[in-house]
Amino acid sequence: MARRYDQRTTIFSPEGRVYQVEYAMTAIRHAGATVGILAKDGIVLAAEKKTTAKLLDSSTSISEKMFKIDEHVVCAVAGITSDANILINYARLSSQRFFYQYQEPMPVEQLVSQICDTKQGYTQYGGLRPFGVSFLYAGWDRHYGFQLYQSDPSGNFAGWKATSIGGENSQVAQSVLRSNYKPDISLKEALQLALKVLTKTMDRSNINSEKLEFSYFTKQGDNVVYHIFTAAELDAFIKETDLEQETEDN
Amino acid sequence: METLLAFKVKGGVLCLADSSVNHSIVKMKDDEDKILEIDGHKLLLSAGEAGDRVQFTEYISKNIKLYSLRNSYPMSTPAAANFIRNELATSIRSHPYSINLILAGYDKEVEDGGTSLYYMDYLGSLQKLNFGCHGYASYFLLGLLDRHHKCDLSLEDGINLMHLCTTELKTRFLVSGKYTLKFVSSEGIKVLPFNAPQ
Repeated sequence: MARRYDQRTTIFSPEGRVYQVEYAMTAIRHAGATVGILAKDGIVLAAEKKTTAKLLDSSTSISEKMFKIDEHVVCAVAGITSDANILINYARLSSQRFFYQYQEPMPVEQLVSQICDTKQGYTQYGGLRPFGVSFLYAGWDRHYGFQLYQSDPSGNFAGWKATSIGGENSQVAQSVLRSNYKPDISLKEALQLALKVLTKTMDRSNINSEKLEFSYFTKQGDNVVYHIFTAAELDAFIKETDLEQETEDN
Repeated sequence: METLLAFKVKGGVLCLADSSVNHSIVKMKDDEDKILEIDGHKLLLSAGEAGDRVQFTEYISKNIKLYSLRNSYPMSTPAAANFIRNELATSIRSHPYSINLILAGYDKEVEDGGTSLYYMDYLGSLQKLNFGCHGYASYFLLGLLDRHHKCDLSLEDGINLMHLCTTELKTRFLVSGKYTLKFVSSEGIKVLPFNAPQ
């Protein structure tokens, strides 16, 4: 009888919980950690790669868990990637539909809110499984400038200055972010902080370009530019940051 | 026989519309307001089939209001222009609206001092202009505006130009009557008194 209330997504347990949604959130903790940090001149997204099979041909896709939705919005995924692909496809469609209707880029919060409406639908209607994905969205629009949002399988979302999703050590990640975040942090400092967070939540020997993914958003003049670190850039960045921290320690 | 006219002046857009509602050869009334005020910083001028006009402009203004309630910021004038054009272009294939429109607005972030002026017709075309005119009046007024209009006219000179235009209509156009004049700028919408030459 213990399993009476967790078979369906659409019913509450007597304690007022919706178990399938909670299980979906648990599923996300098995994924690698993803960190997002809002800096004054950009946004950093950084992630731990879990699947690093030697024979996997990674040359076909630059990025495993970061996806460009539009010129001004990207998202990072934690959870079931196949579920994420459905939502990302929907997000891209929404963004283009908005542009078609208004000839103006879709404001980030509207996009996030629309995807979350879809996620919420699966926690309320008909016997299906909810999407087992959390997202970090990074974007820029003329209303609120650079923005970072987090969403979870229940369809909740919120704007953050720095946050993380996924990973077994999410408490550690959150506390490192809380104690190191400064309101006027620069993009470079944010990149270093992201590396520090992942260093603390991962096995120390794994800190290299094979296990990590880094990207950032920034503005060049009037244009928003998105950059994903190549393996060489990432290794150079890790080496440089390590050196700096060692000199600080001395 | 309806007249819509709008042009940019310094810091804003001046909009003029005739006030008549005609049915066949009968003049039904002469104090109709054809310049709809949307969200404090947009003016929508409409001319055409009387029922379509009211139905469509109301539909548009309520949707723009809904957008601002959902997102807690107003729709920009360029976005509104493209939205309206899109509505016209999709409806023409199934339930066409016989109306021509001019949209004028002010937004802080828009280039050229924040003012924008869009000309739309019932077929779903959209043009960004410095001055625009719908109806038979355009045959008389476009040349006049080519000669006299400048975007940096003061409000006073703009109003004088409006008088010049209505005087020309009075002189050469078969029908003419009363007009409504409104001004949209950073300070919002102002209804200006306008006495056309009798």
